Amino acid sequence: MEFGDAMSVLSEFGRFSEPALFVLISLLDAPKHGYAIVIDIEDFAGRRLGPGTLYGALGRLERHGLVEALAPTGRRKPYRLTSTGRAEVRRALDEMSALATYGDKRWHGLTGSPA
Amino acid sequence: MNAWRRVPSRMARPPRLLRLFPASWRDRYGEEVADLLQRSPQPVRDRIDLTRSLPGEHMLALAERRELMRWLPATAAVLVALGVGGAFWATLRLEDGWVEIPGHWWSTLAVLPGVLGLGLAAVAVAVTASRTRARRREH
Repeated sequence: MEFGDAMSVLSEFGRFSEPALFVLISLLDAPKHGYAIVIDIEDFAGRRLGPGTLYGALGRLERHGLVEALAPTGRRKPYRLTSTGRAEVRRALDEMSALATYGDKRWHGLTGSPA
Repeated sequence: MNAWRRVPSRMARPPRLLRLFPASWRDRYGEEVADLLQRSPQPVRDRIDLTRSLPGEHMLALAERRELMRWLPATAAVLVALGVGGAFWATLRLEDGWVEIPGHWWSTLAVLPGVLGLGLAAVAVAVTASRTRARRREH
């Protein structure tokens, strides 16, 4: 596996790549509206996305068919993962996991220390 | 601790900053962003974040306008040609040649269309690249 393949769609998002991955992970368990996504990401990643970053990422994810908007509830519109989006999260997570394993191996090769 | 303010959603009014965004973006996300800004514990930081995203959203909106590519490359080419002509004309009138162009208002003005043309050409290239990537994904 070559690192970079799985992130191919998200890597086109430029500075929105990482926030977009956070959004996808946030939507894995249930659809959420923007405010709930920000709170969730703040909880699990310790990062507070500003509205420009959040809706920049959401807009790009919608354009690529990775998330879709549901019927609004009041002023808020919930978003959910599409099947393409779910597959993209899986690919991105697999790649990150493979990269971590590879980095770990090299780390121990350099330091000679056990895991 | 959750520092987000509990604000009834009816209180959210579109901030003026949102007027600077493309109409399509405002129609789609305006109300939600206004709601988020209203609740934000760091409104200044969030407005800076919104401002940072402004050029990118305009680029995306431009890329979606099909008629744009009919006039953009031609306009860029005409402006660049005018700028090259202006630079040639100014160089003939300057003692030390083209290196002196930035030193005089009239010679700077003569090459200005070329600079604008190069800017438009860069936008045209970025829009074309964005559309090419989108087409590749569709296939």
